[in-house]
Amino acid sequence: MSGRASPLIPAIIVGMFLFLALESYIEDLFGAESESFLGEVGHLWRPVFLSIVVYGLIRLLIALGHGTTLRSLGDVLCGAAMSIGKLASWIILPLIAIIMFDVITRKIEIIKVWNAGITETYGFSVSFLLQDFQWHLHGVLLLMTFGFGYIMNAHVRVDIFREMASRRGQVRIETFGLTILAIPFMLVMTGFAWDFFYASFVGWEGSESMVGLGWRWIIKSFLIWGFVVAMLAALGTLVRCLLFLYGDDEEHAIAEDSLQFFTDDDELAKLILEENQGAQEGGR
Amino acid sequence: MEGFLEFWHWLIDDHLYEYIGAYMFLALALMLFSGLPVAYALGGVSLIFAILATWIDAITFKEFFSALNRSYGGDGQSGAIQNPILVAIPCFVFMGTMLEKSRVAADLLDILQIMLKRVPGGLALSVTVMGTIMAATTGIIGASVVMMTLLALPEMLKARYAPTLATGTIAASVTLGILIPPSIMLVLMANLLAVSVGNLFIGAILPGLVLSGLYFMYIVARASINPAIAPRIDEDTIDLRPSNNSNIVLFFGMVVGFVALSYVLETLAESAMAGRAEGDTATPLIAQFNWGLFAFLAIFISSMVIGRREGKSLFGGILKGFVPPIFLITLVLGSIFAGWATPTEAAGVGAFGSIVLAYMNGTLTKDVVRQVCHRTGLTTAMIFFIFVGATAFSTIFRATYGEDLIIEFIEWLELGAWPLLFLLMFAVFLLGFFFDFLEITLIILPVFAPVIKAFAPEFAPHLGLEGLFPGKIEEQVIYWFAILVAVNLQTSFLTPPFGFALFYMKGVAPSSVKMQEIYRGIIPFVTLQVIGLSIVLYFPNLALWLPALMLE
Repeated sequence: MSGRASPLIPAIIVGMFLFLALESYIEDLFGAESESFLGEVGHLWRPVFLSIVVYGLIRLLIALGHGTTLRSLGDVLCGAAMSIGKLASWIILPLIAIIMFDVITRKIEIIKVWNAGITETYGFSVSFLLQDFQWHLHGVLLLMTFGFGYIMNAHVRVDIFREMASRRGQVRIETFGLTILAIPFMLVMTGFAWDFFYASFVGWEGSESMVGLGWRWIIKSFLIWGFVVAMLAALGTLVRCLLFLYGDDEEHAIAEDSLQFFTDDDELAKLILEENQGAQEGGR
Repeated sequence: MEGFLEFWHWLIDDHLYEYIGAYMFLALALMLFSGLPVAYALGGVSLIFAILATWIDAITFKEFFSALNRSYGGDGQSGAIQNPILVAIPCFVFMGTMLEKSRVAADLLDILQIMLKRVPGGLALSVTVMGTIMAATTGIIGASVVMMTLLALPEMLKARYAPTLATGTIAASVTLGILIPPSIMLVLMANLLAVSVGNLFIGAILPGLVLSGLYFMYIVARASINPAIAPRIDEDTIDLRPSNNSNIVLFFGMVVGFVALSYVLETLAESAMAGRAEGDTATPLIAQFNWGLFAFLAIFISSMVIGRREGKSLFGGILKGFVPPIFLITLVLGSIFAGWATPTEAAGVGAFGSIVLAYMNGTLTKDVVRQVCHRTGLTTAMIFFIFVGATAFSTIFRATYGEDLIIEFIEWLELGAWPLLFLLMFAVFLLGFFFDFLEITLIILPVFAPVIKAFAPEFAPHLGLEGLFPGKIEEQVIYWFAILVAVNLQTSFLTPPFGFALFYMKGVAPSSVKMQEIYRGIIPFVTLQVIGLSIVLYFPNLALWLPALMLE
């Protein structure tokens, strides 16, 4: 790739879809009586339009020569999702510890008897709290690692036809998927997760079992965070994909190194190979 | 223009309104085969079609909110988060990864190989035993195949095994892991089909053992007829000191001692319970201990300690490398089967046990723990992101009457119960060429299960269930169906030219191994799979007898 693409096409994309996304507001502004030409439920397309606007904006910035800034933006977004995911992975250890503690206090007779005494005296059961806490931890673990999993290419793909495409083709497919499918989906899920959390917070939802862990809004708020972090990873990857496709030679090469989903360069397989070699050397 | 408007009207208001579910399925297939992450394809397609369906007035967009609600779970729904059963999944993943990374698995393979050195095809048999015992837990077929190939294939080729036999054995044994508990697929299936995880685990045991027995017989027969393809292990390469007799005596003495002691103490505790005064509710001190469990753990620990003391001899290897993993698996499965622990508790204990094993093995470094945690996080994210996407998809699919379309289609075919079962099995088999069990379990099973449930009474005579009330029959048929699907999927993963376990294997095998050799090597195992599948089809009691026995 030599020479930059003209900023005209991305500018048109941004303008058109920004208009579509804000169409209902614009009509309100001018006091138009007529209905939106997208129909009554046209506003539902808004997440898709917004996502396309983001796509256009990134392309516009590349065309205007802001590749370096975008590169660091992509690194920051992906890096944040990675660090959060790596941190969240450690939750498995307290989860195991809590299950062990719960099993010991409920299955070993003498401790169970002692534990029952506590419940009688203080009127609450540690066991119920811990059982609720287990799935809370599990929920945080799985939600906060979504983005990490995407960047490390751990999410399952059907590679059978993708293998035949060139690297450029694979990036094109990924760009399409991120813009049309992934980012709108995560936008909508984030929005709904907010409603879900808000209802729980306002109603001060407690445990169903009266003796379990209350404050359900805390775990429900992690739904928002989970999808936001996943969206960070998706946006960061989108930036890298577009740099690969439309950036100049240097940006293209750097983006190619940072993208990890190519079929001939599977990061997870490499990781397994490396770890295995490390373990064998360590064993000897 | 008039004609066009009429066509447009027909397209949107009649055709699309009725068949939007079918188009949704088509779009999903297209997106999946484009190679996008499955979770993105599922989520995105369901969003786009939810908007489309709202646009043509088929549903209201609120349906999409229930996708989130259902992925969260709670209220007895089978969601991902508020669901104590699924906590077992990260724990099982952790356990499998820890056993692999801490080289406990590699040591087990080494010691099995030495123990089985006099049997024809000993190394291949060790691989089968390994697969049966522990390949189950790593989450996805692809990763398991990669691990086991890296672990066992170089060793087998070094021992001058024929590449065909070596690759066939590895692929078949590893994929057996999805069937033999503790298996993540069975946890997910049980969750989706609203049946008990423990019962499904128990039901899968016998079919799994039948398959692994078939592999055993085949390998032994093949190696006896033609020893050149599976040469015996060279005695010189085994570097072992002779066993120390005092340690052998010490270990067996301790085992007998612990068992006797726990038996005596249990008896004493029982008599103390029986001898309580009338109206005395306090449990006597001696009855407050689980003596059997203590004996079990004491043997577990003494095996590892004596094994360390014994060091590098055959006996030491058995105590250190063989007994502890077997005990761990027994503890995990036994506590589920005995109804003593829920699968989640058993998984947590298993994960903790794997840390203990790694520690006793001297390989529990900070680096290993970090790697295991990260890999567990990645696998958990992978499983549950698909879970969320699949929930969104099935919510919208159901809301747009996609499921009714399928049921109508099946009714239109006018098939009986048996042809229908074969049709569904064939469909699952074909899908298994392209998809891992996650997608099939999470997307296809919720669609197929109600169909099979509707035909449950027709299967009742075959399963020996006449006269039971319908709910019970449905439940039993579903157990049987789940296990059939599991065996079927495993076969599908192995069948050339698409079976994708084979592609993963080729990806990490030494370049001297040709794809043709992998294909040729797997064919006998596929034949064994088909025999196994027919056995489970023909003798459903294989899957149903043990759970029923346990319930009594």
